[in-house]
Amino acid sequence: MSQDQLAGQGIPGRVSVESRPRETLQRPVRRGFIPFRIWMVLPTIVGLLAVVGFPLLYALWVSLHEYDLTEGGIGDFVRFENFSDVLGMDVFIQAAKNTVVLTVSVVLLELAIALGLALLLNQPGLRFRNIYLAILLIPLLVSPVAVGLIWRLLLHPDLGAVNWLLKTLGLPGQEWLGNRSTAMPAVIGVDVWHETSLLLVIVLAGLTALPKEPMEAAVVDGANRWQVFWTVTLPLLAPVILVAVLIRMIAAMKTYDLIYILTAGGPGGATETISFRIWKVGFTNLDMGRASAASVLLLLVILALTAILIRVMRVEEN
Amino acid sequence: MNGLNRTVDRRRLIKGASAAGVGLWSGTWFSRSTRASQTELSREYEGTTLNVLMEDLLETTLVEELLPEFEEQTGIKVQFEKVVYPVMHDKLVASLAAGEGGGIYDLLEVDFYWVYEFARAGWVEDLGERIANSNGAIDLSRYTESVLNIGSQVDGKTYYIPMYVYPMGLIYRKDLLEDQAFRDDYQAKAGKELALPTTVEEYVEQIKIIQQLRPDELYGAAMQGMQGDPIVMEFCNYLYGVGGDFYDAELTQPTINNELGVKAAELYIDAIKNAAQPGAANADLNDTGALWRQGRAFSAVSYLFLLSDGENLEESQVKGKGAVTTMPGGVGLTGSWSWGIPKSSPNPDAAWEFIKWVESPDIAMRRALGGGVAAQKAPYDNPEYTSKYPWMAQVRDLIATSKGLPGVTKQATLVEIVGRHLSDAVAGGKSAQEAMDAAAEELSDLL
Repeated sequence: MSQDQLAGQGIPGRVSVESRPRETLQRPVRRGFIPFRIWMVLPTIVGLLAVVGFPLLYALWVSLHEYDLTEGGIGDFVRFENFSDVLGMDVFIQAAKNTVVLTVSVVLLELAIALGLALLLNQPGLRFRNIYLAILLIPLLVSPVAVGLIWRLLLHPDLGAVNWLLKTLGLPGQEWLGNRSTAMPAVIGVDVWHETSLLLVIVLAGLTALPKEPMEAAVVDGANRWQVFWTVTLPLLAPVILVAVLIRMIAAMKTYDLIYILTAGGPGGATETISFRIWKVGFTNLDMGRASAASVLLLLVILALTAILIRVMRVEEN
Repeated sequence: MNGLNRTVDRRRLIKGASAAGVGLWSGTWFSRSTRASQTELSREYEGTTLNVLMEDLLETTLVEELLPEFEEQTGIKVQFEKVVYPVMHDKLVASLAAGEGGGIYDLLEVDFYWVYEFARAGWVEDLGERIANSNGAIDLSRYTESVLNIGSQVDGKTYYIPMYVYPMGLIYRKDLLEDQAFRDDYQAKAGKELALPTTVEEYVEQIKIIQQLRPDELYGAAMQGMQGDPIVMEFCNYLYGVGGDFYDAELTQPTINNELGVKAAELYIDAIKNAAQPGAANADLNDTGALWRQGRAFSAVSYLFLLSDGENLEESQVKGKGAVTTMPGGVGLTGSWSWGIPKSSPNPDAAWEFIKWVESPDIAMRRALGGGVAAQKAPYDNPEYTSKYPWMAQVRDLIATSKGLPGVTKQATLVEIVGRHLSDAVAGGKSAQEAMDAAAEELSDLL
């Protein structure tokens, strides 16, 4: 039966969209008239353009110019010189490597821990679930600066609780933040302690919202718990995990405050991240051209990774 | 300097010194608070409000306590925005770059390593003419020459008026130095008498031996090797102490990688590895201060307020046990804070009235007697000052023999570069020579 026939026969009480006179669907548009709905979203669009669009475009413009704050205003147009300078500096390359190590480590560790904890908390009939959840969420409520200060003390080689515990167990204490081999793992550990809660909240919300029927059907079909998790729960949870990974990945790539408090990028740049380096170039060296170029590069990398992740996830879904 | 951590300590100092020092000061000097300042001040700017960004520490509190007098005399209201050190530079730069009259702050409190940057960027007024027309209200001869060099003059012009100084020196445990049993132990280990070292080499050798005398109880030195400001401020004393410098005298090329620079780096690395507390490679002033106050370090090449904290703070275990002397080798680092008027100041003339008042001999003396480290010479001749704060008697020598950072525009960048490479060497990533070579290569870009 064609659309026209359906429209002609119609269900009582309903009028097919196609059967309505066109003039009732669309108001006559006068020349120069801006619909009300456009007016409603216009402030948001203007606001976004002002606080997101303009700074982005300005940063891009600055990145193409020589701009040292002490030289008095924006200087010559230097095309992509700032970008090539940034990419050619060892200190930026080192910061980029550190950022990749930090980001990959914290995202994977936090996701694994959050997923495990979410599965435990999602067990049917679990008692005191809310109390466990409240305790697990505490780190999320603490500001990064406070987290840094607390952990700086806990990791103190002489007075810190971590080394005290190790020594109590008969193990040697470590200079956690002052040693090249332990500084980055220590920073990663602190970040995992602080940020896992965020992923836990997201993943647990996703788990709770999953339909029960597919899992029940899988159990009826004879699947064990691991098979249910691997073939049903995880694929259904994949979009939520993607969002969680994206949020954490973007935040981890911008890590600054924790580094500032814990190590100031040391020892010898071993924990310096791109964001920390950008701040140094911008506000210590006052070189806004290179700082903007590095910021644009960081943005491009984040955009590219986001696009890749979304694409991978879509392929998986298909 | 690392202000975040410094501020934590200084805040505690405020509490301690507020009780010990400011309390006494109030009794002795606050009775004079109604006395008119000797400096003539104008009421022409009555009703004006001055906005000033200040670091949140004792010296700011000392000025703040006296502000009602200024407001009464001039009708100018002064509003201090007190922040921690790390955010000061960012906030100031944003305001200074706003252009003439468009800034937020009427008056600046400037750390010594922003002095060249702000002046050469054209962000602050040359105060020469104002000083000349001040009828002696601001007289630069009241200040020590080294203080003027460090925090006041750039390229022969006076852009800033010194506010206070924070000299560094060798802080040591006088009680242990004089303790016969300790001296005997030292002599048995070292084969020579324990005495104040005269060279950096002697100092490092000495603290390495002391480190072995009472393992885990007493460290040879409390050191701050955290990358960035802490490690560089400490290292400057080693560098200057062995006769080295970052650049040659004419600022034509870096010299930090010459024989003296490398020697200083080697000594510093040796000290931090073999004579300092565990974790010194990532320690800052807060850590060294705590260690010093616990009585667990024989010495520290540090700021004077490490010593004053040890004397003033309630929980300190080293009250009356510390002393300070000039850096072995005879030259150390001194930092300073100064007043400046930004070109972006909406009220530059009212700001100048404030500087005239706050740096008048009477107010400067009263600030010093409250516990501030005076930038002017007069307090050091005042027996009341040196008897109330005995360590201040040494400060004049510390200031006179010390110097600041080299006169490159971007001193903060210099600190960042040297801090990064030296920290790498301390952590074993590079040799001292490699670290100094790498630093020199980047330092040449600052000329």
